[in-house]
Amino acid sequence: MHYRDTNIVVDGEVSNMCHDLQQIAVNIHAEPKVRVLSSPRVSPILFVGDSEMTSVSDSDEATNVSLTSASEDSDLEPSPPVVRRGRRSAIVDTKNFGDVSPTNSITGSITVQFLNIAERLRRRRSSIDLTMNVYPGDLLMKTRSKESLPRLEDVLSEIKPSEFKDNHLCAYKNLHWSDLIASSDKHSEDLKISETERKRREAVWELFKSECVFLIDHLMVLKHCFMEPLKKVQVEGHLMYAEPQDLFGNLDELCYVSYTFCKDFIAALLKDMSSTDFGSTRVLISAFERFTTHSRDGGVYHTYCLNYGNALTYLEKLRRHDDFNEFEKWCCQDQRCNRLKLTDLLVAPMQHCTKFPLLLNNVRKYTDDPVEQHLLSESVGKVEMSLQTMEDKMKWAKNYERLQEIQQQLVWPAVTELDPRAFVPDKNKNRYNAIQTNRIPLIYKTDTYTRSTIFNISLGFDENNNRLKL
Amino acid sequence: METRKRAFLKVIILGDSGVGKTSLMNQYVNRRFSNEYKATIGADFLTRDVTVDNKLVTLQIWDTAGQERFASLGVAFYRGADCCVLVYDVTAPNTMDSLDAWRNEFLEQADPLHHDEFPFVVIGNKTDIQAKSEKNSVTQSWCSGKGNVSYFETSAKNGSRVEEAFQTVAQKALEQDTELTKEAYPSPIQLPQDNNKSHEGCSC
Repeated sequence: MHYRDTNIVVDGEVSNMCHDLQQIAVNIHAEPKVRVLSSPRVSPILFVGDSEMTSVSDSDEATNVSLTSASEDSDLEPSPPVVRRGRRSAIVDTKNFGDVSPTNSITGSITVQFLNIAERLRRRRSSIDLTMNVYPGDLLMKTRSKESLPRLEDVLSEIKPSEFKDNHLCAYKNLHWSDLIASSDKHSEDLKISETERKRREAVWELFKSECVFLIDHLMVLKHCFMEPLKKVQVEGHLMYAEPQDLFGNLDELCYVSYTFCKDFIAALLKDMSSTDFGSTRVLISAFERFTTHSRDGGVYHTYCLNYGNALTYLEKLRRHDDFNEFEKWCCQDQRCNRLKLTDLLVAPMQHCTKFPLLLNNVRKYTDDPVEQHLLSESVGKVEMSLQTMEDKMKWAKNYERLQEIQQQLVWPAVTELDPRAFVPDKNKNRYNAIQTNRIPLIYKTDTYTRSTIFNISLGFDENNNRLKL
Repeated sequence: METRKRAFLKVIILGDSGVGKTSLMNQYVNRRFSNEYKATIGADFLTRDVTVDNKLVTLQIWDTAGQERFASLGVAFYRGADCCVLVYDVTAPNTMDSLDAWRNEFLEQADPLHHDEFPFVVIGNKTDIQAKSEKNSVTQSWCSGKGNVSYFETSAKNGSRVEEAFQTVAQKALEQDTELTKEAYPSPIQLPQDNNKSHEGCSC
């Protein structure tokens, strides 16, 4: 039987892949860890030149390339390349993200390896899905899977949850902007700044901090406590019916965009910082603009939010399976969830993206310079516009869904009960004449199943009136 | 039906900007008050365990941060709420006038099973500034006119009656939660099978 052969090959492949993955994991963990706050300066080489994303990669050669291309920033001390190596692997799941940024080309051996494995895993999963679809009640298949599958609880107990590691960001998340100044310039404490300026800095810092909290406490928790474990148990053959993509949407892309924004923003803040200045509008605006470009003008959020509605319905479906409930319960026990449930985390990106205008407005409120105020207003306008677009898209999607729902609710009278002589207005008559074939497919629906039935019908018109003759 | 060990109740706080939604939530959950006003950006929701009728329940209180302006997003936030808190500022009478709009907005978006019976709690905040709301009687009658609505005047700053108000919120949310949520299976739409009916004109 053909599909069995495929399975054998696949199983062999899986063990290879596991081996590869282990290798990579070992490579990553072998890297020395970064000291917390080794330097207040984080190299902003994530963005080189104006708003161009360099090809940030994990191999040493490629890192050198990106460093050399960063010649204009070469006066900055670069953060050790290993930092990025570790981080990249933690954050970038190349599996479902081909188009993060038009200028971002992923190179580097490890990344490529990941790509290959991800692709092989994807193929493997789809091939199994396929065989299951083709032979839904195949007993052989069932016996086989029952024998070879370890129990879900055993698999879960074996899993070592993946982690998001970025000590820099985690440290900054818990800091206050004044801490930064104190650490770089001891004398700054004597400096007096106006109350408005203090509040403005506060507002700028809140923009950074809220992104940081969102990334570390929500996105990364969702990714590492739910999505990655799901993928892991699927590698073991469990919960194969759950499609991570349907539940989590473009979570990886969100992680990536948010992470890049955090890193870029803090780097820019630190670079620009002096004893008298912190978080100038220029720095803020340019960082935010890079983020806007990177997120495709908020498009990544649109994608996520559009998927969200379906994701909830999908989750309801998944929860009808006992093993999924067991899995979800296991995930929630992770400390990092901080008592948040899967649904709480899933909604977080929607909450987050609506905050941008509020955060920016808050900065504008404490900005005195009219030119800077104008710049900020422009940014707010853009974000608002993007959110409005999202709102429109979602409204459209909702209406479309509603329409589909209504269509599914329709109970058509049985074909046999239909009046065979349908009325056709004069103006449509020629259409029917044009398609007068002897066979037309008739599709009808019953309340439980959608059945396509092909009836052989000969079409014709009554000579006297406008009624179709079957 | 599964029996849950601990009820998990979702509460939404709505009201005009600056009436003290976040402060109320903070006072209730963290027993803290900050004089510095910030348009809500911080936490999206806070949780607190509370005992109602000898039952330990977890209240999850959702603050709004700009989402309320987007109708289609609202659906996502209000979905599954067990109680809605409407807040106004006793020192700014116009904020009371928006209660109606907020209530309608919520009912429209969340679309609970029985609109008239869905529990609301109205809070007139900032009694530390002005001891009694000018709109006290107006609000009272508004509440009694809407059915399942309780009214409290609180101060998020000194914590006056905040605890009491949220206790009622929890109580009502729990009642709402235990109420059997009928799975709304919409009845199928039967197409008319009356074949004798003559088709006049275009039938589309």
